[in-house]
Amino acid sequence: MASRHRSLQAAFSEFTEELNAVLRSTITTVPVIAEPVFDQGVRSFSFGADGYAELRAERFGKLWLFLGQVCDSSVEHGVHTLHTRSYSYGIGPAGQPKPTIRWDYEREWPPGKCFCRHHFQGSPEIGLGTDSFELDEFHTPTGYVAVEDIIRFCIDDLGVPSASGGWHKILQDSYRGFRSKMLSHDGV
Amino acid sequence: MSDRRETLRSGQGEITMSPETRAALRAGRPLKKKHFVEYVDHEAKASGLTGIDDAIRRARDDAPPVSYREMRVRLLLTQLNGK
Repeated sequence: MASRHRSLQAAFSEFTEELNAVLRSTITTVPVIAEPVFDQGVRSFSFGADGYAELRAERFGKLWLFLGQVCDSSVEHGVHTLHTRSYSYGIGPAGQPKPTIRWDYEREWPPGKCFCRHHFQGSPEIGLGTDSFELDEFHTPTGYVAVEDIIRFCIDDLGVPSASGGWHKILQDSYRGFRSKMLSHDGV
Repeated sequence: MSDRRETLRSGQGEITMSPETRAALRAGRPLKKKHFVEYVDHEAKASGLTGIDDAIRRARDDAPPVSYREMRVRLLLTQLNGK
């Protein structure tokens, strides 16, 4: 997703417009929209106050998907490059608002916490050796999870139908654009 | 959804925002911190929590979010980190 512009707002607008085009071509016509912010140097998006896009998965029935990010930018020679400050993605069954699985990231650790900032959590219980744990208890590490990864998971693993037969290339192209033009401050 | 949220969404509950915050939201510009805090408080109540303090406490305790609405509120709260 392209994200270099003369202003943060322009970079963010292009980012969300391109994301919405990818969403429309794949799993949902529900657009992400700009969220309220109080910091001039921050922008944020999600599916808005309704909070989710409804998906229908072959195997699992109706699901909800939540996508949200908070972004800021670095400026070099007057050009803004967008960075992810935090993200949160979640999936759950329609009619039950609690997420079954979710992926979260915060650039800054919350006070007193040392867990993996990119992590995966959820409500399922996992057996491990002589005990078991709920995924929510731990912060299972991941790399940076792009929105394209979530869309790919929905289509290829969950069986959500794509609006386009060319979804694999659409996601590849979008992800390449993202990798080349939008890096987190950690050098994702 | 909980009965509480339905009540709140119906406009019959305690959930309100000041006219200043509503006007600031309509303007679409970055909010003053007090308006942003009031907005997040409003959204936290709409998500079934008791308000922004409850949302901050649950985030600080790393409590699993109870809904996609709380996930959204928690994301909004990350804007306030260190502010």
